[in-house]
Amino acid sequence: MAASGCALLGQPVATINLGDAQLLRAVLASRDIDTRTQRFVLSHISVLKELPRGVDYILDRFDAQVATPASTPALESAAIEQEFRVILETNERGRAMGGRTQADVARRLVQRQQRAAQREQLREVLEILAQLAHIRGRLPEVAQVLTGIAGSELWSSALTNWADVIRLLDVYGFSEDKVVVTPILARDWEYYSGLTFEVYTEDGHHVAGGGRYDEFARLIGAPRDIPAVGFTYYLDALLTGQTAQPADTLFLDVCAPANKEHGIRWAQLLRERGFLVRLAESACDGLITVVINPDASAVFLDNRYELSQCDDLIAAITRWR
Amino acid sequence: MNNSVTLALPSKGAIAEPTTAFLRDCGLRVDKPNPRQYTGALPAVPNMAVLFQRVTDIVYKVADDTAQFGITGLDVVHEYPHENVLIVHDDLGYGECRLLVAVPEAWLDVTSMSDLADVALDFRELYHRNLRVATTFPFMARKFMHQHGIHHFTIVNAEGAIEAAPTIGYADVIVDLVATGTTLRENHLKPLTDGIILESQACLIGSRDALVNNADVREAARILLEHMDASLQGKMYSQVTINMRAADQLDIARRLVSNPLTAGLQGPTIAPIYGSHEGTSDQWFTVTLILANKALLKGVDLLRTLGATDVIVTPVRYLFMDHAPTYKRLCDTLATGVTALPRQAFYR
Repeated sequence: MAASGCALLGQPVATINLGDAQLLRAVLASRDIDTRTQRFVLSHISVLKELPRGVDYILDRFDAQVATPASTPALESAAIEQEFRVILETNERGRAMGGRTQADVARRLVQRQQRAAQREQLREVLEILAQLAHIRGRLPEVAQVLTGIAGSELWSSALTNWADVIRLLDVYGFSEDKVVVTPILARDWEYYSGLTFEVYTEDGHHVAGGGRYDEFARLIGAPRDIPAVGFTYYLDALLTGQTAQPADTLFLDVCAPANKEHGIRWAQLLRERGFLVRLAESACDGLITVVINPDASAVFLDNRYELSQCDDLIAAITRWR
Repeated sequence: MNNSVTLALPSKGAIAEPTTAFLRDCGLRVDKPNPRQYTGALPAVPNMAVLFQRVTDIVYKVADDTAQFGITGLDVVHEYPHENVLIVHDDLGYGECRLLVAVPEAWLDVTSMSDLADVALDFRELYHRNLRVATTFPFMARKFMHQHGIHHFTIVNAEGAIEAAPTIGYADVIVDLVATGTTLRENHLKPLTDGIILESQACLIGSRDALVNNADVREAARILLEHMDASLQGKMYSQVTINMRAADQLDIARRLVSNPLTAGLQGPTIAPIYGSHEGTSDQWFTVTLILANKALLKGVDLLRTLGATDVIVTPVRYLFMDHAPTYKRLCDTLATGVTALPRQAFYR
């Protein structure tokens, strides 16, 4: 959908980068890295690509984050005195604590000590991720490289996911040669939990990006994870050189219970002609519904249309409207 | 007002008085008929009116071209960015302060932004709410938080006494301007080591449209910047007059020019003291030099070792170079059409 939107705005898509946050998490979990440290790594993941000594940089940041007053060797006596003074005065009336309690502070100090003990596992994980960070290419090439890296059992599901998405992208009109698999696709936000992607146009603009983030709802207050996907259009980049005008829009349901690929083809044709299309695999309750048969024909008001008769279908919808 | 060019100045706040003092030092005296009036004049610049406004309103007035120039804080210019607002001079040398993130002193486990990012996640997981950030700078605060991986936070817009917010309980941390840090300490807050968002001070801003399209405005800019640059440069130097004994001027010149500390801006001016060489082969000379204040004492010590006596040091009020560097930079900016406000340049 993100890539199709770019194409409809007159911005031909050159490259779709695919990553998988689940792959990263699997690598992290394989060494029993706790969830908070996992988040820390995910939020620094781009460093592995940008800096030649990215592993050392991240470890330095980690050391800085888990350093506690007790682990600081040369703590001056004046500083210790200051720490005690603050602890004693915290009970005073009117003492600023923000929304935290003394117990919160104490617990986090302990957690930092525990996290500091994970440093060796973290280094091992970062070494693996550093190898992954420099892998990008077509799926078969990437699959071949991945099998040579330790822990390859971790990425079989990612390889399957990428293959599925590449197959569906082809149906949407984006051939395999436009897709670049980038196992470490660093997005700015650490909450991605599955497939991630970025879309680049022929003139090199990064115009869209997104992915799956089932944990996001919980992060903003929901009691449990909720399956979710989404993407962002970078409007400044997208509107650069934009020529196409938005078409007159009409909401439409395309119901394709038998074959998703046929549904996608019809949805694409209708979207290119200005319709806002919701694609569903089961019966829809929309105002206008087009049902797709197993043989790829479409049915609207008991009339049957082949893919080549899309314009006839649109004429029928317009008359009915 | 019939004047064609207007300069907006702060009517109140921390930089109001320092601004009129700064302009006075630059030879740009501000005439304000009475304290309650919101208009005035700047006699040194022809046809220039002065409008007294709040610091944030100054940015708006320049943005919509009501005023063609304004002096305000860099902090508000960055908080309310506008494509028509051009930073003409970003180093006026007063009103220095920092926009920074501060947390309760009792948070012994938090010293850096990465600690704060971790605590923000604690708030989500333990209390099911966002970290609350009290500030009057929501734009920059929001951007800075995201830059440091803090995404789960809520901005609490506040006006005044922000330092009390964590004690009162309506916020957990603050983003505020800090000049000396005394108020922070008194409210039991501490800055984070990497929590400085912006190093701010007073700056001169201008209307891009007016500067591009109006020759009178450009001429006003030239006069303002000639005065400001000359005054600011002058503050960096002293005029040093000494007496030295030597065979001739060339001997003195050789001794002084051999060391950058005593060479002066262009070189020494040497004049003989008449009637001072009777009975000796040497003669007394008076030497005038312009030396940088930052190495003044070292320079004076060196002059003494070279034979200088009677060292007189006089402040330099104005130092006009062959051109005003800030005005030249402004002309280059206008000619190349560089983006009005280099917003990222000031973020650390």
